[in-house]
Amino acid sequence: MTHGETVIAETKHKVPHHFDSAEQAFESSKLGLWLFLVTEILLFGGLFVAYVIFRGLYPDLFHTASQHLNKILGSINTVVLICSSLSMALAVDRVRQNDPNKAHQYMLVTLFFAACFMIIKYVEYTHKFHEGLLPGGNFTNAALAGDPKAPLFFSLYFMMTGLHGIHVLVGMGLITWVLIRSNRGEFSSSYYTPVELVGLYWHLVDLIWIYLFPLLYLIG
Amino acid sequence: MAKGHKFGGHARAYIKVWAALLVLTAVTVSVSYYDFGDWNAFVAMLVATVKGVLVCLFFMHLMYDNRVNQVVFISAFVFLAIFILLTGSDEWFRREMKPVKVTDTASAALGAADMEKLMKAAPELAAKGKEIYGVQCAACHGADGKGDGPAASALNPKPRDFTSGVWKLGGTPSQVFHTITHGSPGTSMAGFASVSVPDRWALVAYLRSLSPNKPEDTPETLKQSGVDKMLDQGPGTRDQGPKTTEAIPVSFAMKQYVQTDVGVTDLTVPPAGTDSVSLGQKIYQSDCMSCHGFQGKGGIPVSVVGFVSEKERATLKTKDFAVSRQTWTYNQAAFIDLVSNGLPGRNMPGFADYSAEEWSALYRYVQSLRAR
Repeated sequence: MTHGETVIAETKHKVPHHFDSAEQAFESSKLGLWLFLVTEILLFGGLFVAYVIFRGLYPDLFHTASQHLNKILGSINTVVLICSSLSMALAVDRVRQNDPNKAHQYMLVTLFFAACFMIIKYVEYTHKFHEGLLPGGNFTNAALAGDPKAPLFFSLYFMMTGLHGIHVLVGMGLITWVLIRSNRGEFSSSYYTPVELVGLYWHLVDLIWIYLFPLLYLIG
Repeated sequence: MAKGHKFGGHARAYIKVWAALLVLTAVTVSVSYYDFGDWNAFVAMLVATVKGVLVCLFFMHLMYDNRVNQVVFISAFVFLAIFILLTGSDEWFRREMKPVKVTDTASAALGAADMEKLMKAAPELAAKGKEIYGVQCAACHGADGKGDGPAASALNPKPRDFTSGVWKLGGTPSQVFHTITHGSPGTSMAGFASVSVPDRWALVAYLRSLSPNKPEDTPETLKQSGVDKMLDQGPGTRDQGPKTTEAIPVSFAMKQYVQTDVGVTDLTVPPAGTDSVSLGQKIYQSDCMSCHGFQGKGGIPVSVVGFVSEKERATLKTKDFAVSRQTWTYNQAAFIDLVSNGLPGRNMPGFADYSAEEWSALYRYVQSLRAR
């Protein structure tokens, strides 16, 4: 199949001199990424705590305000992200199995799902802007005008989904980057650290959405 | 390296996990259309956690990863749990307290018209200012305002001699008011914003009475000192009456936490037909009585939010003033210190918002309760 390419790839990557072996280099990079993911969880953790506190204080508001989110679009986006996670996992698996062509296809599929996610997010945001469901002082929605705390829910909504959306965009950039490098034949079963790490990052983005979706759309 | 890995082609497992995630998404969306009351959040979070665990174990293959990475990643959730539980425990165990309507008489008394009155150096205002001066200013500026107080020798630059007629930052009422409020940068003169607004105006009146040089305010000095904003701004701003807002005042909050039971020694409300006569009594009855009792006999159990058991609550009764032998019983400064700071951890909140006059009145009244 593509074994000719992989041989070239294996000669291309040099293990940095401060590591004893390729294995050690790989494990070190991965530990570093796990630590980074810990900080990501704590970053979102602050927003989750804010959500817990304000929901505890204003349960009725969260109930009525969440009715203004589109459950259907939220569900579709959840499915889209789960599919993108699958294709990313398969892409990593293919790289590891020395099958770069398949891997490229899976990465493109992942990018496609990520773009779908952002487009749906764009549709949702546009709709919120249009209805004046905005954070803080920009809130102009008439239906919820009776509740002075209503903008609070939308501050949390935009902060949480916005920060998550930024992560999706960064993830798309990273997938594009490994796709380009993979196209140059830089990865093989003996060296695929960047693909592995981008994969882990992408799954975390999915993981966070798995919690955001019910908290904002379903149980308000 | 590929040989060393414990996981090979996992495509089939990934697809199974993906199918499980889709099913769980369908479940969580469909159950959201049913109302389980308080269990809604629990069910949704349970499903999300099952999904999350699947993603972590298989997509992120944490299941096959080495122990260090597993511990590192799980630690994130431990810290997140601590973060949520400790913050939440503050809120979840709070008792419900609804705000009450509060009529803000203090700010009503300080309407624009009153500010103008305060600005005029009325003789009685200067007399009150002298009293406050003795407490707040004399240590540095000297008993007679000559800048020769006991602490003056240590200061550089020296404190202002008010009898000299020199005003470094201006001598109009509004400028003096501004200096008292914000202090004088680059010197030891601190801002005294903690002194109430009427008291600060009383000080202004007294200080200006000491000086041979008493310039009057012009629109420029008013604007420069920011005092113009506190004055009459034209029709519609004058005498709008007391402002009513929703709030939880400390005295009200304290009353919510007081539980009277059979063992109570004293009353928490004055018996019918009692009039508050003295200033000290008025302050006492508004701020202290709900815990210390009408006659200061104490014995009223004070409960803390949530965490105190019935047994502990019994030990948190207020003490009879008459049996206390502490410093505050004979020393007013110690009394003020104790009441301003409260007793942290022992349910005595700090009450610091009194003028010098109110402090001595309260002290006298508490002393009279001891002597009963």
